Amino acid sequence: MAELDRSKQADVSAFMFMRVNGQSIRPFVSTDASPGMGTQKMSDLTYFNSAGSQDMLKAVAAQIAHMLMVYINTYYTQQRESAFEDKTVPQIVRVFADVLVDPGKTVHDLASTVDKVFRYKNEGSAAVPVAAMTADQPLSAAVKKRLERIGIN
Amino acid sequence: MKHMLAWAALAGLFLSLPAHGASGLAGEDQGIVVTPKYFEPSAGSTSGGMGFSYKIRKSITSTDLAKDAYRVADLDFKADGNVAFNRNINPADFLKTGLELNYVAQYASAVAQGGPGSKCDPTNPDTVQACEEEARRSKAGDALALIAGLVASVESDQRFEKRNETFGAHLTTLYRPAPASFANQANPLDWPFRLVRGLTGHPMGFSPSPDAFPKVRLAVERVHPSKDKDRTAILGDTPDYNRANVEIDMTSPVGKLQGRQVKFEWSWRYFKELGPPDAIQAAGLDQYRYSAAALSLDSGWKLTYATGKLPLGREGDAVWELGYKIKFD
Repeated sequence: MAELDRSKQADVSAFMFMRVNGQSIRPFVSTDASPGMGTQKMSDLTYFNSAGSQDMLKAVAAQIAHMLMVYINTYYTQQRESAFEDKTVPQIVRVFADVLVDPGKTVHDLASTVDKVFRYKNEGSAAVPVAAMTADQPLSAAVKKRLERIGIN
Repeated sequence: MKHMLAWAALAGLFLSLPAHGASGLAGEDQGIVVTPKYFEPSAGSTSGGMGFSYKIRKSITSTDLAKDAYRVADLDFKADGNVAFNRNINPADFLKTGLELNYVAQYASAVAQGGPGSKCDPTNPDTVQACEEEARRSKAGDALALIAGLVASVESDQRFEKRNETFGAHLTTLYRPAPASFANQANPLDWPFRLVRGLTGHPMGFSPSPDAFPKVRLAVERVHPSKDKDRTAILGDTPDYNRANVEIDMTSPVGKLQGRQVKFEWSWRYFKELGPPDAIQAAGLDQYRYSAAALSLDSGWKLTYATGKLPLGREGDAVWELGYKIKFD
């Protein structure tokens, strides 16, 4: 099974979320002493209660999914990939909850889903297309003067 | 039984309401459709007659969004029926009207991380221990979810002489306290696990786990006991009945063993028939209690103890299970 990748902020955010919220004690990648978090199944995370009903599990998974989304929005990015730009918060929560409720899915699967939804800083930014759109636009003298003052010619 | 043929005499006569997008009606199926029909018996001497079928679909979705909270309410109304002015020639004398309401309100906040002078950098997994320590002191990081649902439907013939009602309602409340909140610190359900965590070197130490805060689900439902042999033996037939049930769940990390987490899971469920017949009450079939507790090692063994009965699976009063989860990579 796949390990988490340090170069992917989606993997880092999923790992940090699970650790700071007490869901796992596994390291980022496997060591001699312990397997890495990427291979950990949802059923082994703390929130997953196999003794309870499926209705309760779905509700808890939706709550964890919402917390994950708020955590990523707070510390990583609020930008979404184009396929998810128009989705509402409840729709994104449902995407994550579908993974969290499946006992056989792994943290790596969850991180991959997170990566499909969010656009992280090292993956380019929505500001890039905006900058490209405005590259050929004429600037007023006042704006040029201000840009020169801060070192942009 | 006579076989009848229904002819759509004026199939083009539709009365439809327009769709109003996300805030009102949505979807192609929405609206009211009334189709006048001519019913022609395919056998016997009965003459034909006029009637109509109707189909009503109405959904109202209300979404209220904020940065860290949302409320979603979905209301679906469905009605279908086939009505003949002479009911004796109606080949499908069946009307169904249903209402489904679902309401979800969720709030969540992130634990405080990476403040001034902090050694925690959420973008660097090497600083995870500093982030965990900060999270344990965080007064933010709480979450609340309220989930309510109501389903009701009436099935009848067109004179309402034969009628069958079904309904169900549920309310789930999930509160996850912030790590440093009083509610989390004072939760007595977690005290024994905090002690074991501290003694076994679990990274959380003696700190409380927000997962140990109890989660509650209440439900009322209409039960169709068609396969219930016990009820059939006592009552002779199996009429529908109403039942309430309560579920309380919690989980908590117990400790660390061989570098891996040991987790505790617990669920308690109680089912009570509302207004049971005396014979059912005397036989003890009007209420059921079920409790299951499990200890599991991350990707390792699992020990489960279950006691009591569930209404649909009445085998065994108390069961101990010891198993090993086998990984297939």
